[in-house]
Amino acid sequence: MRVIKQSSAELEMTHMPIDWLVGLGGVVAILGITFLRALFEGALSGIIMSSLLLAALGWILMTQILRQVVFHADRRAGTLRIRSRAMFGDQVAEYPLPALKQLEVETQHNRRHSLPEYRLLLVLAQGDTLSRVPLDLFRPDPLDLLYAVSTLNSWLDPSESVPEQPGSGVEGALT
Amino acid sequence: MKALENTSETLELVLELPRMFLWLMLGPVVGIGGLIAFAELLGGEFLQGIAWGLTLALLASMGHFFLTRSTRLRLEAGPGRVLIRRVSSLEVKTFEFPLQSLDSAEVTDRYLRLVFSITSPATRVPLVGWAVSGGDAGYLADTINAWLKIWRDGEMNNKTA
Repeated sequence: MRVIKQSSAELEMTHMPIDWLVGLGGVVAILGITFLRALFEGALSGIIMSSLLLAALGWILMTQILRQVVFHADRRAGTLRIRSRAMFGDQVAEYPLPALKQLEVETQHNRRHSLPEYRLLLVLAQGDTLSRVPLDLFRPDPLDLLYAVSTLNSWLDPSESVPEQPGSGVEGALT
Repeated sequence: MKALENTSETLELVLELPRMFLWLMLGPVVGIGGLIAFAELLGGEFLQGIAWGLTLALLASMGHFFLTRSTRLRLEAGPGRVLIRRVSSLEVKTFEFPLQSLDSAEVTDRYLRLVFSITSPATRVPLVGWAVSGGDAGYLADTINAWLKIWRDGEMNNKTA
């Protein structure tokens, strides 16, 4: 999660799974080389196998990993807009900012291997009740989610001061 | 994994794989694969040679990306903040949290994790992407917890004074 813009009026954050992009992108590229090699050599079984794997992994790469999610909270417009940019089109969801109570990290354990899995939830007020809307992020790093929660919740709380520049004073401390 | 600074004001740790790992893990793959690619090219098998070369280059780049990632953790008593800086060959990310939100450090499943109590239940964040063996992770968790204890004692004394 990276803060693009932060002021008292606006907050913009973006998420893209770089680790998965490098890992799966590399595997897809190697499969691409294998496919071309099989094509030039006329090896039919190689062409079929590599094209099947290429299609399956390429689909995950294009629909999930090459998907950038942008959170844009705007106090003047009174909205939180979540835009998901993918190769096959954008998806936009908009929520009223006054209804947004906070952002939460939910830890759940996988039913098969019990390893923790993390989700980001929007907590929205609907009359007297609260509803939680899960956000669709591909295999997020818990540190990214925690940072998003800390940053957005501080920004929503008017009693906390908000730095005008992202990460002000941080870069100098860790060199 | 080592502590760069450990004073009552600041604790700074760096977590990265030794450079030796890079050579030990990538060296044999690139060396032997490179020789095969070279032999293919010398033998007139240009397509095979180029395919081997490209595949090796990709594997070496991916290996370099994952093996050279490092994390630097800095706890500062003065401003009361936790800074985590993650550096890879593609990006540098710095995360800042209030020091009060950091509950402790622990080693679970051989991962060194920070326990943040901003959320309920607390969120456990692995400091590095690889599991560790040996006593280094435990030593670092103990160092972080000892520093936090001294810092909390100081905060308590300041409140009562």
